Amino acid sequence: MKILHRYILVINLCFIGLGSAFAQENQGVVVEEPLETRTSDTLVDRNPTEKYGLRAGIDLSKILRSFLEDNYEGAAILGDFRIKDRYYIAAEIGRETKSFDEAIFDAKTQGTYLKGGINYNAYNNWVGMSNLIYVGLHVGVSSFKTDLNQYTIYNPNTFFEPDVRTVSREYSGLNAIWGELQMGIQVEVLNNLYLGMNVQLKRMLSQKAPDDFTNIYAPGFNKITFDNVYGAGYGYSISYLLPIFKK
Amino acid sequence: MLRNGIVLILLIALIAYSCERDDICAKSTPTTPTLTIGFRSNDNALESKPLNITVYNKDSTKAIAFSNASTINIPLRTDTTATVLLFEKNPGNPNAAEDPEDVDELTFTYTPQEVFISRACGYRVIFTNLEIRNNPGATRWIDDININLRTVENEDTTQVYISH
Repeated sequence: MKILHRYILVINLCFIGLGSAFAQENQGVVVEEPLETRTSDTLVDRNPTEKYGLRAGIDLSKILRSFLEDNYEGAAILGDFRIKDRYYIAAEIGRETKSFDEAIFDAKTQGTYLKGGINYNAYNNWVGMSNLIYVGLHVGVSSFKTDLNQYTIYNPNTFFEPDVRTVSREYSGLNAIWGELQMGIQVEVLNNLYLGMNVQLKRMLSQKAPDDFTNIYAPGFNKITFDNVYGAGYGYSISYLLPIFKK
Repeated sequence: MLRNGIVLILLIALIAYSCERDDICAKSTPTTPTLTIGFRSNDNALESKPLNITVYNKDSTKAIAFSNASTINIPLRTDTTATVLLFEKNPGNPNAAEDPEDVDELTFTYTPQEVFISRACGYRVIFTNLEIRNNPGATRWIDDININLRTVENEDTTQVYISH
């Protein structure tokens, strides 16, 4: 019973946090003008409120997908560091395992990836708030291996039985490098606690594929399709800001 | 603005998700080829001579029928180095003027080679060092077998000519 109460408390806190994050805007519109002039009057001896520090967290979508999808397993930690008023250095490190049980092959790719880049916050915050709507330019590198377990010779003629071959081929030392355009938001739901979501559009720059097979997936990049250098992805995150100094 | 941002990002996520390509092997992609056989006249090796023919597998459980064909395409087994097929001329016609219901058994031997095509099409097999043997039987309707090309990697070329 005690635990249940505690859960309800936490859930309520989350809702209050979310509510206040969204509500402030609307309330603000009414009083925007007078507040603006006041702050300019007291600009000189204003207390520093802009928080600078390291924000670190985990990717929730990867954890959720690991539970929901049988053929996926992944985890990632991510973070950013504010370097200028609107600029952040961002990085992400993770690992992913993805299995493909398709009509013509059964294979599994697993490996790790690292992404890094710069985020630009386009959101005009109220004094004391630090939400983000950002665009980011990132570079990703991934190192992985693919196990080919079974494949069927592609034959449009069905006179003979399908030629299914069970093997255990391991293609290791594979890699991929890509550029990534990220768009996302980070909302402060509780003091220093952020919920974030983002979408990623990627373009493959180079990849090392097996000689007698192909790269079907790259951790961090997502599915690789034939004759196509573009990819897409998304992420949900929860992170905590460790404030280092204020400006 | 924050709310607009959320809507925009959800929209982009939706577009990105729906735009993910499905890999489908295009019909125009060369995959595992069949063997192309042309029929010629025994009297004039340059003249094509169509016929009614049915091709069976070794235990006659599967058949492909061709009528009045001068060129046929037959499959080769990809999982082994030989395929045995029965070729029946004028099937179901015991009163045919030439070779009525006559069956010849041919053994095709070759080296199958596995080639990777693409993610969507997977692997195909091509055949090299093709050789054909007409197995002994009571009567033979096939007079001669000429191998034009010992490598079977597409269906654009007639690899074998059979004269009858």
